[in-house]
Amino acid sequence: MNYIPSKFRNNAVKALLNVNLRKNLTRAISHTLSKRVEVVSELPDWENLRQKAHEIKKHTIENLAYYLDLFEERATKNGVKIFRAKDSIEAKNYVLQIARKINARLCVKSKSMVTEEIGLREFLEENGIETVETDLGEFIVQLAGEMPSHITAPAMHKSRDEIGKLFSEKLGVKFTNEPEKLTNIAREFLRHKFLNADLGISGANFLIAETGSIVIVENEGNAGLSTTIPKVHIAITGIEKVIPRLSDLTVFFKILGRSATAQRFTSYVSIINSPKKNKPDSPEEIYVILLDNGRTNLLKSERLKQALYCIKCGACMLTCPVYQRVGGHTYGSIYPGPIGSVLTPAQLGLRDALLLPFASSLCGKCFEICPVKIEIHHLLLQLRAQAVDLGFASWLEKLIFKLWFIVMRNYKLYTSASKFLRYLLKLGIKPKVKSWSKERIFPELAPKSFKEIWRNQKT
Amino acid sequence: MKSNIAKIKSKYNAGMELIEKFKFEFERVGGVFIKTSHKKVLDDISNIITIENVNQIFVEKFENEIDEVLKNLPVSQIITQPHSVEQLASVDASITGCDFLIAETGTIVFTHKENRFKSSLLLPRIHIVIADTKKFCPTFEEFFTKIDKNFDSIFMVTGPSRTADIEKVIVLGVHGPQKIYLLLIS
Amino acid sequence: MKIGLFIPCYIDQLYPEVGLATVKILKRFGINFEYPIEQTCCGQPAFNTGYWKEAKILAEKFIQIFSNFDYIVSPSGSCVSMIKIFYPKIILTEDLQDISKKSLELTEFLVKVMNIDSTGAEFDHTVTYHDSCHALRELGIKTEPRILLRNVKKLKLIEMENPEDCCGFGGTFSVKFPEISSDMAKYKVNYILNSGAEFVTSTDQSCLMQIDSYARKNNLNIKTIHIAQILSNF
Ligand code: SF4
Repeated sequence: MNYIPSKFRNNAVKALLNVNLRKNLTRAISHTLSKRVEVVSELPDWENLRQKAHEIKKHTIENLAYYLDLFEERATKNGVKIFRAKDSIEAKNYVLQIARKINARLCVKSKSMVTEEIGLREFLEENGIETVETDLGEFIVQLAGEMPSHITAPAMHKSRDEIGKLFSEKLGVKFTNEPEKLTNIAREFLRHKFLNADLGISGANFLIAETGSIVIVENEGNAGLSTTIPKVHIAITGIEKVIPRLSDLTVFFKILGRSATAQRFTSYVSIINSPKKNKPDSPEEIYVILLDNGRTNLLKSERLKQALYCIKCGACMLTCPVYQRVGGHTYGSIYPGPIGSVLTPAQLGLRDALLLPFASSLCGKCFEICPVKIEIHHLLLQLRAQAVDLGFASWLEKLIFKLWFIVMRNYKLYTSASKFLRYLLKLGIKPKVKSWSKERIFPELAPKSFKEIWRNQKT
Repeated sequence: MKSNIAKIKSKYNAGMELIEKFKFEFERVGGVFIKTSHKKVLDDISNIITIENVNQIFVEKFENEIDEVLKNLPVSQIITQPHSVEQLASVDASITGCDFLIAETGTIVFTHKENRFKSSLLLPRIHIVIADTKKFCPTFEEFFTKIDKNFDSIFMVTGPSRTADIEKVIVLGVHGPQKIYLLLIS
Repeated sequence: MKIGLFIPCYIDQLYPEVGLATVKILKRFGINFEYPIEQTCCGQPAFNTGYWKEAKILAEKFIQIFSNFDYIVSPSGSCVSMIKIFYPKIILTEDLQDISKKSLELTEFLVKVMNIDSTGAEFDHTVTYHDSCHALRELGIKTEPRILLRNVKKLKLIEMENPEDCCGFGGTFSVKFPEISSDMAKYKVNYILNSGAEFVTSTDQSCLMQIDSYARKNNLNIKTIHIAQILSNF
């Protein structure tokens, strides 16, 4: 498979036929979605919470420059160093610079989609710094040499047998397919890495402007360790992650776990303000990299900037009928599924991600589930319009819509065309839409249109 | 499933006491809740130590009478001043205090302190937390208004370390503790 | 009260019987309606594929044609969404607000505006109802069609599993990604078959077209019927 967005359809066709993949996806997705219903329905004010979260995000994104400055000011006061990176190259080089300065040889990473986005792990490895994913799911996909297929459940496309085989091949352990044993193997392997790492890299779920805090939410404890044991901690995150106040977390605490993993609350939350010297288990230096990488492109569009409200819970992916069928890899982008189809064009440029905004039936389930109420399906429509505006449509499609438009804007022409088509039909000439007809019968024109019947009745 | 949810809701509505609410949530995420007293606490911890087969243990400084009590734990080694993370990684269990208990989610909150080691909350297989009734706080809303915003760091723990990354099967004790006990002294 | 009847272009061309059924219902309740003959398409296919300039011109034309009515009624949740939800995205003027409020899908119009909960129809069959995504998630129509169906004499309404799942049509999506679209139809068709109902109905003929096309190609015994056809069976 070729994992680039322009191969979406080819990848999708293969994925649809991949029985194993579909079994794995269905199991993981239906499990999470049904549990989610349970933990969401417990909260009588769910819609209210969504609205509140939406408003907090909206307010922040509308005043993003202000809150980023405030965050920078407060975090700097706390002794944290801030770096604003325009793109992935700047971000990666800055990390490397720090790594070189402290002579880092081993880096432990906790889960962070932003580091996936900039390809940080590969970059550090190329530069001779061993970099290990410590989240179990991420660790599995790293061993397999793959990308995560979902932003909060990276290895959901794999079965226990596949993971068992992977572990025995790559780690030289005896085959087992028991999740508990596999988890233990990973724990032992990674424990050793934690204790010897000189650099810890994490993402951030939220940045708090008023206190300059980094907030990391997780379940395994690996983020807690990655940000505690190594002497240097770098948090890399998108500029959209800032929120105004610490107390805003109360809303996000309620919605994030429920949306991401169908949990009432995640096992661990780290709120980090400042580094500490002279402690065996505290970083002496903390850095925050605020990454743009196309995000300000979204900010420029009055409508598309909604995409920056995203808290990366991944719920829109799980509920999406397209994602459910083809899985995350098919999209060929770091962020798959509905919101990925909005974020990816902002990062790669619309031309390279052209298929993605079209890869949706616009059913609206993504909006329905989104805890921050992003109208994802409407944003996809917006991007389709951009694609046509920029002239990315095929000549055939343009021609069809040109003709269609000429006919539709003039009802007399419409009436004649309707007669003409029926005349052709009588001659045995039928319109054919090849792509439709493989598994479906293309509908036929009625002998008489409604307009014609109506007219005849009137006279 | 439905009736289950209804039960939970009606329980809330009945105005569950703060402690009971915390206990309910804490147990629901897999924590073990034990009510104890100053007199009983040593026995209770000794029990846990036997059940969990603990040989080496890290004990946080409490700066109160508990420090004295915990000196008598039936283990082969007690560490109170760790010099390295390796030391914390080598113990079977840790005993620590905490700063807040959030009832709405069953969350234990730890703030940074001179004598607190964050990795002691994560590295050992067993984590035993000792708290008193003054630590309770009903919601995060209240918590965030209560705290001094000039903290160094906060760590919130809600149950044991967990994953569902392999076929959605829940496994406890991934990188952090597999078991967490809360001993409430009242 | 003056009602403008909008018969979407694809119903006009492919399924005139749905238009006729709608007319029959309106007449039965003595509703004063008009069918402006100059209407063609609301512009949705163009809008949906990204041709917003074209869609905008058609939208303006549409508004002009229907500006003198108190309500615009149409037997299609999808086309009503276009008018109500999507016109404001391409036309940024004042009078649009009005058009948004005025446009109603047929069952919504009957139940909410006319306070009708039974059309007096009879249909001696088991029926399952498919929620069209546009009717359900853009317009919030869920109970209205069910109320009307439940009150059809002899009709037995059976809920299928996942009635809210998309049929996979999605207009341009079904052409650009036929494999995914068909796979979605396949699941939907299974839910329908498993319900054991003789007929599947919906507010949207486009969904029914997708379901029917898939079922016929695969020789599956599924009968589709637009809700207006059931409700006009008196
Ligand atoms: S768009 Fe909404 S549902 Fe999707 S990942 Fe972002 S926050 Fe979650």
